[in-house]
Amino acid sequence: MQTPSTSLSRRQLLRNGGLAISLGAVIAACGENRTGPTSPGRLGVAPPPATLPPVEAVPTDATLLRTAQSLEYTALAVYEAAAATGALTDAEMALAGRFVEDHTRHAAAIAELIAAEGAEEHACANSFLMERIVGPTLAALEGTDDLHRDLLNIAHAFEAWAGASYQALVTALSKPELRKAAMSIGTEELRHATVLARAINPDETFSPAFTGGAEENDDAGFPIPYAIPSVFGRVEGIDLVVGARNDEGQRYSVQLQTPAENTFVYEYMSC
Amino acid sequence: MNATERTDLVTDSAVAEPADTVMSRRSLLGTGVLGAGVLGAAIALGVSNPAGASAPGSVSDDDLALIAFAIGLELTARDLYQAAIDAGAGAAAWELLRQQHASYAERLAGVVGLSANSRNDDVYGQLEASFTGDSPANAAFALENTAAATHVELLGLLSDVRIAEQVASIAAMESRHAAYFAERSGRGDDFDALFTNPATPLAPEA
Repeated sequence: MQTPSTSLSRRQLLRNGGLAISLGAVIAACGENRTGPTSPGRLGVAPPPATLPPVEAVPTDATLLRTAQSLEYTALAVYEAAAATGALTDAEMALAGRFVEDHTRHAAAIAELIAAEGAEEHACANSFLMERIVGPTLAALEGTDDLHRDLLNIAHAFEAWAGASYQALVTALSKPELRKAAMSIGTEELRHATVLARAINPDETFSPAFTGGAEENDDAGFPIPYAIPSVFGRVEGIDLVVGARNDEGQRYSVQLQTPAENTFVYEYMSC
Repeated sequence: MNATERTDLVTDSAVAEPADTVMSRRSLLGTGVLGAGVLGAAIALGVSNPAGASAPGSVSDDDLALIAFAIGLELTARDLYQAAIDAGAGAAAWELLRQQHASYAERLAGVVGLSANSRNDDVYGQLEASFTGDSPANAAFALENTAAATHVELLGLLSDVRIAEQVASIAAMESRHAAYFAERSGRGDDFDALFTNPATPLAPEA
């Protein structure tokens, strides 16, 4: 009968020695007087991502106003593109010209408010919206089956969205006088949207929701605009559909959202 | 709802009328002048605050007075639309717009815990004839502009953002109403009438 050996075998020595070394490394890592970078370890040699400047957790009035101004310039960019298509009638061009005047005036009025906040104006379109919304929407007009229809729908959607955005800003702005200023502009955007809705859909002024019905897209898949869409002004996203159907029978669709973190024009941002 | 019913909802031909020069800028200014009376009376009337419906403590007295005024204005608008209907304005749009203003009064009352039951009789009396006459769309155009301008003005006075949110949502729709009536009152080619609001807001501090 073999008795248990009290001495360590070679195999045990190697195993226990490895354990000791590992524990030593862990303890050393937790020790003091360490040097070297404190950032997390990284694999590969790619450069680290750019670090964005810190921004306020709750957007300041200056940020909100700069955002509003960027919306006006975004609308101007949309109308510039629409006019360049040559698909609008003379009467529609006159209407678009008036909208351009109004948006230009709004942008100037907001610039004064921004200056009063001690901040720099942002006299250019919202880059996030241009890249994610306006650019793709205009690209979707390529090969469309009805450019004129699309342009009117785009104008309506952007005006309704602008109005909703100003309404949403009322609850975000800290000062009553700025809320008033924002909504005095927002109500004009909504008047634009109302007239465009009447032009697109002259037979139905009121949303079917007023009589218990549901708002639905038309047979071709487009949202139906109403001059009087609801009892109270709404701030939810505005659906926009443009372009021809693709191979799967779908048209380009996007939802315009009121300003949020991804569209805010913080004070560190510039044109 | 079928397409015919939807069309019946608006029956715009029944609403449409030529622009009434009497009810245009001069009338708007007149309404603005009325403002002092409207507001003062609305507050004086006191949109009642019945026992058991006390306003939340977070609402300041100043905000409460402003909203009482706004409620009185909305109830006046509601009754003016009713007067137009009673006088023969048959399109469904009139009833829907009457309901709009009734809803605004109720919403505002609910937010601050007031009872929406008192219109401004002085203002109603002065505008009733224009709503029951031959050109109620002109009268409605002026009224909606004034109501929208007044609510925007209130936003600059209200301290409670929760209340401001509701007022903004009402101003948004009254602006749409005004643009609609600009077109229906024969101003469809007048961009200023369609897109800008020349109305003098009613003055709450009066």
